Amino acid sequence: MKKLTRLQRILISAILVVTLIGSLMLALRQNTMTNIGYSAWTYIKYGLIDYPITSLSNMISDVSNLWHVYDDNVYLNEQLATQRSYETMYQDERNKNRELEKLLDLQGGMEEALRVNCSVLSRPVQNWNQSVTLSAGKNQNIEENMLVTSSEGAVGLIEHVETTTSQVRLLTSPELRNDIAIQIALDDGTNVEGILQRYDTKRKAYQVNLFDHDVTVANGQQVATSGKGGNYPAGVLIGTVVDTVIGDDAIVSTIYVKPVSNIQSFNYVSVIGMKKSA
Amino acid sequence: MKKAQIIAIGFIGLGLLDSLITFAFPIDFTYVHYSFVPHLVFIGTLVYTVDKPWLNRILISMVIGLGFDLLFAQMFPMNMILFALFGYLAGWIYEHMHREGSLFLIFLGCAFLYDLIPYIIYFMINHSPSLDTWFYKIESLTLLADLISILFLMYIQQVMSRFFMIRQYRERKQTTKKLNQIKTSRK
Repeated sequence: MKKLTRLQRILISAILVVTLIGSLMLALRQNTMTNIGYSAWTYIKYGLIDYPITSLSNMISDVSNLWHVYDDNVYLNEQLATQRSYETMYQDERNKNRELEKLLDLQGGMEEALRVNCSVLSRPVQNWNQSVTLSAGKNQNIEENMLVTSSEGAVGLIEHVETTTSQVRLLTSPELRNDIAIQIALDDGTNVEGILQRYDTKRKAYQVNLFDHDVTVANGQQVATSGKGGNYPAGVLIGTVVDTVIGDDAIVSTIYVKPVSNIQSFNYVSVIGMKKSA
Repeated sequence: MKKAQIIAIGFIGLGLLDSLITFAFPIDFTYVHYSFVPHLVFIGTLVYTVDKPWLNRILISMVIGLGFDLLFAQMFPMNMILFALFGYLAGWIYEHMHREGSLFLIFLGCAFLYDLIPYIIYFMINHSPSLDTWFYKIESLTLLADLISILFLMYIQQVMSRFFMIRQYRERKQTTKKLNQIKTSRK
């Protein structure tokens, strides 16, 4: 018989040993010896193949999810922006409604006056505190020097009238030409009268000179039109007293009146004038 | 590194590749979907042992089959027997055919029989699945995978043979050089 080589002897020995151990384990424990090898191999396989591949697929899945989240985020941001836009539109409309409701309340109080309701067409940004253009003119019987009121009170005087529009000089304008006759109702039932001279930009209040120097005027008192010397009725609110200036002789001669609260922003106005007798 | 070590690492690598492919494309034993079984280790064994002497063929195939049984927890010692059987058979057919391109057909035939024999045993016990279902759902794609594996491994075998040949040539050359140096120094 041909003699076995070294390699053949090693291989036969290995086969015999492993097969013998495997068969013994199989016989004694009713369990294959391959479980040990299988466990080891599974561990290696898990470390080298399963885990890296699962991690990679999870990473790809996460990136994909992240991309979806980004898309969702963009979509939600757009929705949120639209919602904000709706919110501001709603707020704007609600303010307009409030203005109109207050104007309707005012309308009921002056039956003897001519009242034209209209909206603000434009208010130039560079002259914000000086003039506005209204959507009513000669066709609506608007005349010069009629008083323009917002929902809170007087804001200006009609300066120039066109067929369907008119220009308003605001009371806060330094170029206000006509003085406005005012009155303040006192606690004793009498009135003190005066003239609205100009708007003091430093104090942010109207400067009003009173005709009667003996009366006591307190801060917070309301100032209204007196209806004397103008094309508008009495009783339209001008503002509230915020300061008094006492002269050298210790009597009140000048007061400062804070304009109505919405003079910086209004959309609807009433133009008030005196009804002409037939 | 020694040749035996490189070969052992190569077979471990093939086993890992088998696992990787099985993990990526799981075998559907319900035969609902198409699937395939990679046979890189088996084909690698055939490619490596086909030109070896008959006893070496059987012993090497047995060791690899035993390792395969140990690591894959299949029917011990089923793979050891099958590897040895096909290792011997492939070499025997190759010795008797000696035709150009016959190796490829031998490997493909052995790979098919390697699947067919366990199927027949399984069918005799369970009476399912039918031959056509098994062939269409698993074996057809498996044969395709075997075809690619054979081409790949035959190419690798050629490359490795050349590598070992060049290394052996260099080693011999170096040995001759050293011998000459020793002879020269003695003079």
